Order: sequence, then structure tokens, then C-alpha cells
Amino acid sequence: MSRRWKRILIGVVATLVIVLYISPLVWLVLASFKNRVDLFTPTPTFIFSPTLDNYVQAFVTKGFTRNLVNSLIVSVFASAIALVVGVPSAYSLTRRSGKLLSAYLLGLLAARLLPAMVLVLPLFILATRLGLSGTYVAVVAAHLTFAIPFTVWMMRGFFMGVPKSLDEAARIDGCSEFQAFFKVVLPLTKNGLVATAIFLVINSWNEFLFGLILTSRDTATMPVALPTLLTPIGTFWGQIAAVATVTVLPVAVFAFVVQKHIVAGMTGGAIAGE
Amino acid sequence: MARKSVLALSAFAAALALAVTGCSSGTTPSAEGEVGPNGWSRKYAGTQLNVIAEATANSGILESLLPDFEAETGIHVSLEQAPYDSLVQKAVLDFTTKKGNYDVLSIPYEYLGSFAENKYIAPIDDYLKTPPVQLGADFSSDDILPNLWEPSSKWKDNLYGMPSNAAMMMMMYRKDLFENPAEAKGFKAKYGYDLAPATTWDQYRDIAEWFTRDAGKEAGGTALAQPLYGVTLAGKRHVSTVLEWMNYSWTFGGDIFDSSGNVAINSPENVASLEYEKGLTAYAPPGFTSATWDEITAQLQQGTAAQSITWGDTAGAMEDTTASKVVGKMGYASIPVKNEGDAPESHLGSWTYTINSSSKNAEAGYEFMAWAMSKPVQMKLAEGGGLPALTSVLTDADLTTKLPYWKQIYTSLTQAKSRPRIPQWSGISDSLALDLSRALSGQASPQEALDASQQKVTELMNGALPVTYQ
Amino acid sequence: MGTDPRTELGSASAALPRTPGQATPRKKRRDWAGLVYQAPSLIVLGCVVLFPLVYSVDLSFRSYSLVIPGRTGQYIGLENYQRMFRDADFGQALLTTLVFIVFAVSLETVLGVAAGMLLDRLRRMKRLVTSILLLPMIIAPLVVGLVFNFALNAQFGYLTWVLHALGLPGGDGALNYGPTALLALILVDVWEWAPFMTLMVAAGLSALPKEPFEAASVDGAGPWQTFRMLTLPMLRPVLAVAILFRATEAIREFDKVYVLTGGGPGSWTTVNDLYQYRVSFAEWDMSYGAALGLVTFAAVLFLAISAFRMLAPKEL
Repeated sequence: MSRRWKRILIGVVATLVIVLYISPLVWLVLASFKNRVDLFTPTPTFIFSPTLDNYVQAFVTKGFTRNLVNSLIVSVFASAIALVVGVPSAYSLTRRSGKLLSAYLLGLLAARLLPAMVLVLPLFILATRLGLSGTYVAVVAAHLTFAIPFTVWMMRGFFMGVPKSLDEAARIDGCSEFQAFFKVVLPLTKNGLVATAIFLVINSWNEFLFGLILTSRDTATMPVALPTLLTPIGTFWGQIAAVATVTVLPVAVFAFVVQKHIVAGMTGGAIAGE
Repeated sequence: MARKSVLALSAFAAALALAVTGCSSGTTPSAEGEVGPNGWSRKYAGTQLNVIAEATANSGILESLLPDFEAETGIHVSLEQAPYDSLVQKAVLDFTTKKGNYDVLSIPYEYLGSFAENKYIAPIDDYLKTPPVQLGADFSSDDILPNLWEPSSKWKDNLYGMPSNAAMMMMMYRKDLFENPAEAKGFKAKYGYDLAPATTWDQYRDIAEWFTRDAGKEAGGTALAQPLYGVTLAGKRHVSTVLEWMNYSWTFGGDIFDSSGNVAINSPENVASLEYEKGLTAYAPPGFTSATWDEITAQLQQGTAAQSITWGDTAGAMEDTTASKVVGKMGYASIPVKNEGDAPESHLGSWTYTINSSSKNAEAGYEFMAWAMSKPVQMKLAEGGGLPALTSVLTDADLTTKLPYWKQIYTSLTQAKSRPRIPQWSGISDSLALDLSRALSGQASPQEALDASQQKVTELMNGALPVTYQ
Repeated sequence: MGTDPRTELGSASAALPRTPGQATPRKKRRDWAGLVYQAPSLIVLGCVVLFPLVYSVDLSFRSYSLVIPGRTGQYIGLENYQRMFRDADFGQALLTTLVFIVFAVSLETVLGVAAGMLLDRLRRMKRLVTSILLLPMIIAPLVVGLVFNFALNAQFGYLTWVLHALGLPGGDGALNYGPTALLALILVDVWEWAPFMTLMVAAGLSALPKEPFEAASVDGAGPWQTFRMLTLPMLRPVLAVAILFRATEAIREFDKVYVLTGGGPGSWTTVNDLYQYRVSFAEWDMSYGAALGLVTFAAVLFLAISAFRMLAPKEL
């Protein structure tokens, strides 16, 4: 077989494999537009009459828009706080050394290994005692338990990629440490910052367990509200698909647009840490 | 959907009409003595009441009637519906915050002891004696079926609420198949007795075996497009499995606690009952390991099974022309017994409206409860395929003739037996859910499974044995 | 990265004109700044991680429940921990989790290496393929579980239909039988995370120097030889990090299982986190749940540190 044909064949096979791989998600999106009859046929159908009824039912009648807003609020706040708190910390960790700092770093690693279950229980009890259970504060605080360690570890990798000589040059020019950090080093890690921010938002957006326990009816995020549709079997699958699609869509679009950053973030953090 | 908007529109029109005719309905601040057109107090007009209940037919119908309540009393009710597990969890989580996020909660009655002892819910005895607000003439507490009210709402010396969703288990079967002459002939030839709705467990098993057929074979004269199964039962690690098994357990002479109040989960009678149920799984659809009462309802509606021990409040779903393929084909009877001549029993599964002790709208909540128990509302529940709690509605002549399952519901309710409502119930239920599902799915033998639960529950009940009040 | 910034800056500042009496204050100022940078994160993490952790430890020595009466938080010493040894369900959950992690991560690694090498070769389609590969791991694990619950539904799931048509097991509802449910869980996890491994491997490969490979091809080495003796060892650090990451994440698996099988049938797919969730939030036996969580954490910590030391000694 000639080289060109070989290439085309590989391309076709690869495309097929990829399409099949993503098919569950495609099926989900299609299902969100199907009405009840089309959903429950034992053999799958590709041709059907689309309806927006599921979306209307879920978001307007059942008020899932509220959950959408809650997801936004929680994600944005948790990510913002994590960045404000974690970025300087990461920077400082790469510019200094010492036993305490190494211990702190290991502590952060340990925090990443904590099963969420270990934390959700005391956080719940504490939130209840403080009267904060069900508020945004409780769930944002819970998100910080993974957001801050994540930020520090990610940004540490990127800060390590900025040579200290630049700091020194800035200091010699008369900058304070903070100015050196803010005006010289930070802009150079813009890509890393963007990647980190993206991951933070996505992680908070997708988070389930903390939300399940710490939010109430009014503050429930999308993933938490989703299982409430998993009741009398058969009746609400269309709506489940609709809500799930909306839970997934922003993330998917986001990923597509900034995939360069995401990959850089994922791999850069690991490889730069070598 | 269209129905709801029509209802909303008519409620709006009604309110508008009232305003135009001069009856002060929501435009002026409500006064202490103000009453709606049917006699319900408007003292709490403008209040937002949060209610949570199980997602059932009753809740669906009630939801459609909420605009009427608001038009009458001015109270805006937000009704959240959730499945069993999720509801209990949300209830407990809300109780612990002590914020009274939910004012009225429809709880499964087996949690009554736990919630009452922890003072999460408030007794309503005082309200019953002297209503805090004027209640409409359509409400009469005497009409509530005592056999239902007591087990679902009484704990020790107090009453904590009113029945929101009466439910009991019964046997449902494909009457049309039973009445088919060819089936009757074939059955008699094989088993030596007439084909009739099972009254004993042996008959139930024989019938199950008889009706389990592959697709392509005939049943009731028509060829089967999908396989037919003799029974469908619940086997998921879920409370449905526990509740269904308790029927087998009771009829075999077992129970969770013995007569002296000690844990008796692995008694020989219980093991025998579980062995029996395990035997039935050979005639059940393969999905039984993940089936709860919802799956059973769906399967019966699709005509997948010939018999089932399931919940009376799903009878309406069988006769629902929009979703059921077996409308008019189902028969309803009492649960079989072990030996001919035993008195049939039915597992009671009632839910109770309770008032959150931390609620700031306790009186409005009580008004809502009473309204939900009033005759017009209960009649609508019955007509819509749900289950009422009033004696008059349950024995109503019209309904008995109109609805094929109505008579059996009343019969079953009078035979109803309740499960333990002690505070440790959640642990018992969880333990049994796990072990029963393991036995049914083949992971453990019935003896092993019940031994495991026996050990766990004994440990759980440490210090609370023997049980003297359930 | 090995030089101490303080010595570097120290030598620089030594060259600057020094005013008498300023040597020590300047050093102190640097330390203050360090504290300012770290303080916010220390405070926040102290509140949301350290304090709850300590609280959890204390709770594990008590008997506390929100629903079971008589459990108001009294001290019971080591009883919770002793109970763990008798708890067969806990042992089963640990075993299930172990099986899950071993099979899922191994499959992900193998697939990831294979696919990563292919991805590295792509030119035009690389960006598109990468974006698509990101999807499974970037969407909420809860939705992943939901999607496959839907797709494997016995009545109307399209995957069930495919399996049935191909005559493969699971044709009548993969999630209804214990072993196939566990297999389904493992495969769903592989579906979700193999892309992660793929991307890591591809990135790792693109960072490798070209010379050794050129030399090898000049020497006449076959593709399998090149792979085994050159590619794989050079990928080792990347793979180590990736595997470690996946393993530690898989131990905390909750969302997918919760919605895919709920832990069933029976207890076939009850992984550790799910088991603890049931103990704490379904049976409301919270103090026991706390003890379980701490033991799990200790075990994970120990395993992670050991693995870390073995696979990537440079970090420590």
C-alpha cells in the first residue's frame, strides 16, 4: 500500500476510534433533545424530532437556573480566593528555602491526598455549630481545601521556570520584593496563571461531595441538584440529560478554546517539577 | 404541563375576581380573624412555606392543587419532591442546622422515633385540641383512618403529624392472564389445582414458574415480544428490598425483634423466608439486583411480570392510560400467607407530615397539613391515582366501583402491620439492605447474610435491648 | 534550583554601600516578607484543613451521631478503631478499592502509552484530537457516571444494545450483575482517565531529546527494541508522576460510583469512600466514619510517600 493511502487509512481509523470514544457524550446531548417516547425505545434512534421541552422543564419549571448561578458563584469565589492566597505563597516557596518551608510543601502534598470524606465530616459539623451550614461560605471554604494546595503546586512549577536572576535584576534596579514579584515575575507566568485559574474553576464547577453535604436547597450547585432528578425511573431522564449537558457544556467549550493552556498546565506542572 | 398553566391561570383569575368583588384577598394586610372563602384562615397570608415530600403520585397531585391553597389562605407553598434516601438525608441535614429551612417534612414513619427523640420534629397535640388558626369545615380529624394515623404519627405519648402518603404492600397480578382459559387449562394440567390469584407462597412460586417464558412463546393467547417473568421483586441495596422482604419474614413467622424484644434477625423463620425469596429470583427479570419499587412499577406497567408484591400507592400507575400497557388487566389482592388459613398481613408504609421544631412558620405549617387532609383534597388525590388517608374516601362507593384497586386498598390498610419505628431504624435498615441484597445477588448465602445483620444490629442496639416500644 | 537565594542576594547586597546598623534589620525584613507571603495560605489552610483534621481525630475517639440516640459525643477511647478490625464490610470495601485501582490504573497506563505515542506522531490533527481527548477528564465525574449509567441502562441504554448485538456479556444490563458492574466501573474510569495518561505521555515524548533515537535507528534497532530500551526508561519519570497522581485520585473515587451503581449490586462496587459516606451520612454513625477516614488517610499517605520515594527519588 502506498504511503499516502496508509496515512489516509490511519486517519480514518483514528477518527472512527475517537468518535466512538466520545459517543457517550454525544448520546447524552442527543438525549437531552429527545422526548419521552424516543428516549425509551429499546433500540437506539438517531432520527427523532427534537424538543426543547426537557430544558424548559428543568431550568424554568424546576428552577435549575438557580443551581447554575450557584455553581458560578461558588466556582468564581473559590478560585479567586485560592489564587489570591496561593500564588504569593507559591512564589515565596520558590524564592526561599528552609526546613519549615519544605515541611509546608509536604503538608500541601498530604492535603492533596486527603480523601474528601475525611474533611467533609468535620467541616459539616463545624459549619453546623457555627450556623454556616447551607451557606456559600461553607462550601467555598470546603473547596479551598483542594484549591489552595492545587494552586501552590501548579504555580510553584511555573515560578521555578522563571530564573531568579530576573528577581535580582529587578531588586538591583530598586524594586522591593513585592514589586519584583508583581511587576516582573508574575507577568512571565501568565500562561501558568491562566491554566491554574481554568483548572480551579473547572474543579469547583465539577465538585460534588462537599456540595452535597454542605449546601442547602438554595445554595445547591448543579452537580448536587442533578441526582434529584434520578427518581421515578424513566420519567425524568430527558431532563437529567438536559441538566447534565448544561453542566458539561461550558467546561467542554472552555476546554476547546484554551486547550493549549490546559495541556501546558497539566504537563508543565509535572515536567517542570523534575 | 398545559394543565398546570391552566390551573395557574384559573387561580389567578379567581384571585382577581375576589379582589374585584371587594373581598380583601392579599391586597390589604391580613388580620387575625380573616378567612378565605372555604373557611381557612388567612392569618399567614404572604408567608412562604417550604415543604418536602417523597416523589409520588400523591405529591404530584398535591403540587397541582397548591394554587388553590394559596388562593384560599394566601400562603405560598414550595413543594420539593425527592426520592426516599435523598429525602431522609436532606431532612437530617436540615434538622441539624436548626434553621428550619424546611417547615413541613413528609417523613417515612419508621424515622418517627428517631426524629421525635432528637426533638427534630414538634408534637401537634396542642394544635389538634385547639387549632392555632381557623381551619375549614372540610377538615375533620375524626375522618383520618386510625389504623393509619397511629402507627404513622404517634410516638410514646404524643402525636407528631398526619399521614401524607398512605401506602401498604399488596399482591398485584395479571388478571387477564389468570382468566385466560388456555392458561388455566395448562396450569391445572401441570400443577393439579386451579389457576387463581395465589393465597399461599407455594402457589405464588408455582404460578411464577408457570408464567416465566422466553420471548416468542405464547402467553394469554398472544406471542410474546419480550420475555415474560413470573415475578418481579426488589433486590437493590436499598430500603425497598428490606421492606419487601419483611412481608416474607412476617408470614413465615419471623420478625426483626422477637416477642421478648431481642434481635432475632437470623431466626430460622427469617432464614427460611429469605431462602424462599431467593428461590423466587429464578423467575424474576435479571435487573432485580438493581430494582427498587420504582423499577417494579415500571416493569409491571410494561407487562414484564405476572405477579409482584409491591406498593398499593402504585396501583394508580397501573391504570394510567398514558404510561401503562396493562390498564384494566391488573388484579389486586392480599399478600399470600405461608400456610392455608393464616390471616393475611400487609406491610404498612406510611409517610407523615411533620413540623420542623426549628420552623418559624409552625402554625402555617399546621394549616397546610390540615388542608392536605381535608375531604376535597383527599378526594382529588384518590381520583388522580394517589392514596388518601380518610376513612370516608377509602370506603366511598363511587370510587370503589370506578377504581379496580380501591377495595383492596382499604382491605390491605386494615390488615396493615408496621415496621419498627425506633430511633435505631436507619442503622437496621442499612444493615439489612446490604445483607439482603448480597443474599439475593448470590454474594452470600441467606444464613450468612442474616447472621451478618444479626451481629451488626445487635451491636447497634447495644444498651437499648430489649426493645419494649416500637 | 539548588543555590540559596539568600546567599545570592547576600553577595549582591554586600556590594552595595552599607549604612551602619542596617545589616541585621535588612535580614529581618526579608523574613517578615516571607511570612507575609505565606501567612494568608497558612491561615486559610489552618482553618479549613488542619483544624477539621484535628477535630476529626478527636471525634474518632468519641461516640457521636446525629440520629442514633445516646450518642452525644462521649469519649469511648479506641473502640471505633477496634471496631474496624471486626468490620467485614470495611475490609470488603478496601479490597474492592484495591482491585479497582490496580486494574483501572494499569489499563490507563498501557492505553496511555500506546495512544500517547500515536498522538505524538500526529501533525495536523493534533490540536483537534487533544481537545477531544480532554473532554472525558474535564467534565464532572458525576456526569461521567451518569452518562454511563444512562448508556448501560438495561432497557434503553445504547451501549447495552451494542453489547447485546455483539453477544458480549452485559447485553442484558451490565450494571445488574456484580462482576460486570465492577468491570463497568473500571472501564468507565479508564474511559475517563486514559486521555490524561495519553496527554502526559505525548508531552513527555515531545520533551525527549532526538539524538538517542537517531543514534538507535542508525545502529539498526527495531521499533520494539527502541521502545523497550530507550523510550520507556526515558518516560519513566513522567509515567511515575502520572501513575502516582492517578492512583491517589482513584483512592478517593466517589462521584462516579455514587451515580453509576450506588455501590451495588449488593456491595460489589462499594469502594472505600462510598463505604465511609454511607457510614457517616446514611447510617449517621459519624464518629466511626471519622475513624475510618483517618485510617484511610494514614494508609494513603504511607503508600504515597513510599511510592514517591521509589519512583521519583529526586523530588525528596
